[in-house]
Amino acid sequence: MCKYRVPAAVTAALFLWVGTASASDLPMPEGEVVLTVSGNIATANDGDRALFDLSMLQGMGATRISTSTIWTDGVQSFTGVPLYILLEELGVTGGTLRATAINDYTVEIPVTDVGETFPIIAYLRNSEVMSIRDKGPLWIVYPYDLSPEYRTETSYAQSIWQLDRIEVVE
Amino acid sequence: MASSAQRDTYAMTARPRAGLALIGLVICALGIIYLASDIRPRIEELATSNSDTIQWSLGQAEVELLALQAAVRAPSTGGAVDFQEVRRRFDVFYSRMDTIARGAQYARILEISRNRETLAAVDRFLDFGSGMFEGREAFSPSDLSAMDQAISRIRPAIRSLSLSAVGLFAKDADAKRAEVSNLLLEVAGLTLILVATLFVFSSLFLHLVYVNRSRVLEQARTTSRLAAVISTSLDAIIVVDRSGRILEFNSAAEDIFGYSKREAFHQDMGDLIIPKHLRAAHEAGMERYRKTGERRVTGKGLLRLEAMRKDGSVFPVEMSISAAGSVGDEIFVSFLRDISTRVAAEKELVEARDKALAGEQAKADLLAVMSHEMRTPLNGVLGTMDLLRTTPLNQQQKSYLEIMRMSGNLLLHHLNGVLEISKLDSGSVEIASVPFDANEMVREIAESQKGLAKSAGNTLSVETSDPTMDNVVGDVMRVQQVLLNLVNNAIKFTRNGHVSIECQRLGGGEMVEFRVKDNGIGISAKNLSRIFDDFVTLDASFSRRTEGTGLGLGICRRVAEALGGQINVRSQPGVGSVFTFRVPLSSAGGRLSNAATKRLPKTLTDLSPRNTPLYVLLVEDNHVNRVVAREMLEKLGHIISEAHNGREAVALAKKFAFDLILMDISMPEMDGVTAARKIHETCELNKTVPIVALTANVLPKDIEYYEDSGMSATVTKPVSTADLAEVIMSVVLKSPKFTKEEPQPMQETDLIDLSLFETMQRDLGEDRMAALVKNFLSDAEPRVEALLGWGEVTTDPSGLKAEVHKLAGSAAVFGAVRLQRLLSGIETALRQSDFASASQGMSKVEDVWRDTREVLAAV
Repeated sequence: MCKYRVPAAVTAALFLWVGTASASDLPMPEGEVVLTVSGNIATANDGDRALFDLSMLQGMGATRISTSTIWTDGVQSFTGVPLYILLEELGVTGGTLRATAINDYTVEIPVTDVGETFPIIAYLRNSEVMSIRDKGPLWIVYPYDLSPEYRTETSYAQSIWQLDRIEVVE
Repeated sequence: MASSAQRDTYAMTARPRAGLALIGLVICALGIIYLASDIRPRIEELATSNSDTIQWSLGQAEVELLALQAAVRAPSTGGAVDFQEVRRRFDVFYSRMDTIARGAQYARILEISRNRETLAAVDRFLDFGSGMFEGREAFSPSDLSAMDQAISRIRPAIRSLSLSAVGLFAKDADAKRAEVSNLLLEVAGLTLILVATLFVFSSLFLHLVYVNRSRVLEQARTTSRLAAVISTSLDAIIVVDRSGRILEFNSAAEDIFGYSKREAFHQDMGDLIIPKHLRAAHEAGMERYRKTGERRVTGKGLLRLEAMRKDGSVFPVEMSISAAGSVGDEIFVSFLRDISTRVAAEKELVEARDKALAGEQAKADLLAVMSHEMRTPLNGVLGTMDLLRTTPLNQQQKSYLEIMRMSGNLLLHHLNGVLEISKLDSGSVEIASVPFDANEMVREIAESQKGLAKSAGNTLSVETSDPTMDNVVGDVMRVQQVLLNLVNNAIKFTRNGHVSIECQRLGGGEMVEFRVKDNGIGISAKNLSRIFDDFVTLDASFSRRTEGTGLGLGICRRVAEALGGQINVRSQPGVGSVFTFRVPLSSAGGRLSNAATKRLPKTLTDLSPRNTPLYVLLVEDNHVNRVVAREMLEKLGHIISEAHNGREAVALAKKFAFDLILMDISMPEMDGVTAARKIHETCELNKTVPIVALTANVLPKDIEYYEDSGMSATVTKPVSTADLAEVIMSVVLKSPKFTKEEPQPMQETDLIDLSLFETMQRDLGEDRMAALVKNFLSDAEPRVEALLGWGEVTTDPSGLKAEVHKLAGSAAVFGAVRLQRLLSGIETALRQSDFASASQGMSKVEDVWRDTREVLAAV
């Protein structure tokens, strides 16, 4: 009950802008594709889809969240790119994100619900790349300890792990 | 006043009410805070979720296991087994089970032992599966078959895990629903309380609004009434604040001061209406009040001050100031009234009164001067007639002389009446206080008036039955004077009737009432009110035969008032009159012979006439008076020298020693007072000679003045032989020359005048006399001691003089002549500031007193 009162050690604002890729020249992934974004997007690199490998995501930014979760033991450190930045990169301004995991779990996230900082698409957990067994390679994470507003059913439902594709729909 | 009282009662009732409301409010607030603080975390608890969709996750575990099995069985459904796909599905399942094994929300499920066994089985399966991917790029059919079997074996366990959660979470859901329902009920209750509180406070608020509105209305009414009062006030009303700035200036103030309200507003009152000479005092007063709160002017009632108009003119005002408001925020309300007219009227009145008083004084002065001027020639006329009578006259001449004498005496009587009034009005009448028998006095008056009454055919009766009147203390001569006048009047205005005199003490007090009743002609109501005024003579049918100055009753009234009494009259024309004379006469107790008191002075005058011829200097400018006085003195056997004025007198006194000087006061060249002083100061031969003033000025203050100038006594003109004899006797007896020169053999006869003593004893009776002597001795003893206490006399002690004088008087009454002479000598020496002689006399007092006491005590 008092869990939310534990001061969340959130280290945010670690934006490392390695390079600003404009919408027109989204590079092609060189490594294994970990995320496929389709649907109503303005920028693409594979037909009407945008494919991302891990290094592309890492190049977009790094925000670190230290928080406990209901699915893990103890405080975990997550590093990832804010979902907001990814959507900006893709020129997504509205609609709903239909995010789907490897296990075909799908959840809908309205674009208006996406905050500027949170959630992030975490690609590192405790500074390590996540395997599928560790709910990787990508995991949408909120700073649950920071505020009760991140400890809702909705937030938990949107915290999709083993994320591998997003479809932007109206 | 009334408003502040209302305010007080309101405050008294409102305070507890406000207190109750406050307490209620606090209780409600506390309750709400408590409920809200209780509900809020519970709502938050509902809002946050500790559990993901657990059942879904558990169910998903089975689905993911089946997906893995489907991937493993792919060949049997026709496709090739995708190694990567199998691996991915395995990893997904692995991840799921890992979550279930580690996630805090699944802890409760793991409390069930069967589930722990399941998980252990799952762990074994996962270990097995992980091993299957080690070192392989693809599966052999046997691998696939082994995996398929392993999946099939683990499947029921996964399912039972999912099912066990159903029961557990159904209970949780029930509890949660109940909690939500309770929460809703509590919220509803809280809402109800809030609404109720809101209702209570809104009605309270409405009530306050109502009360406030009616108060505002009341205040508006009061204010408009007050405004009406202020604007219609005839007095200027000026209200200022603490610093003296004008806040209110009504229309009367505009009229009085000449400023308009607009001009006056917010001006300093001091600059505006206070005259320059008062401004400093005003500012000091304001400053003092601001500093110390001391009020010298405020609330002190009506004050008379000066104020200034716009044109600078200063005028008198009457004002009062009061302060209102709370401390530190006072306003001062001044009411001012222009009293220029009143002050002018008052001034006129005072002037008129002063003029009238001055006129009155001038009239009184004229009367005194007239009396002097008229009595001087009258003195000559009467004195000469006195002498004429002793010469051989025939019968006719004698009857003419008698008529002249009667007329002269009447004229003298009139003059005396006027003088008496003047004396009484000047307030300088000395009231004697001697014991006398009032009953006897009344009887004597009746006796003396019997002849007059008889000649008018009247009977005269006396009613003296009150024994307390036998011995009273008072001014017998004055009482007698009034009573005689009343009886005389009663007889005059009654023919063949009856006059009665009554006397009686009123109610046992000091006041005594004398009543003179007659059944004569009476007095009409019209005249009744003015008969006590001066110069009133009633034109009665037979009053013409009786002459009157019209001063008699006026004098009576004044005398009665001087004695502390009053005279009243009741009368009816044709029936008669009753005059009531009330006067305080305290009872002396016992019984006293009237003869004793009445005759005492006479006895003293007769006392051992001294036949030794005296050398007398007669100083008188008026020829007639000089001749008359000389004749009289020569008859008494004295040797006379004459002087016509003060200068001549001083010249003579330088050459010859006199035993006595008779000195007229008003004379040309040098007046009597100056001459007397000069003789005592410069004429060696006559340094202590007694000088007697001869004067027609008989006001007491004049006599006092003469005596202060060194004169021993005063003889009032017209002079009679008896007056002269008496004054010579008394003055020469006191003269130090005589007390020194006369041999004083120590004989009893010299200590006490036995003839006087015996006469008194005969009159009073032996017992009474003895008692009186005893009284005298015990009364005189402390006085003598007091005298001795003075010791040597070095300065002029007026107290000693008075003491000596009193004791000398007492000694004279009992014939203690030696003591009396000694004391009189001391008194004279004191009067002349001859302290050596006085001290010498004082040294003898003790011996003389001891001898006197001895002899008197023996008698």
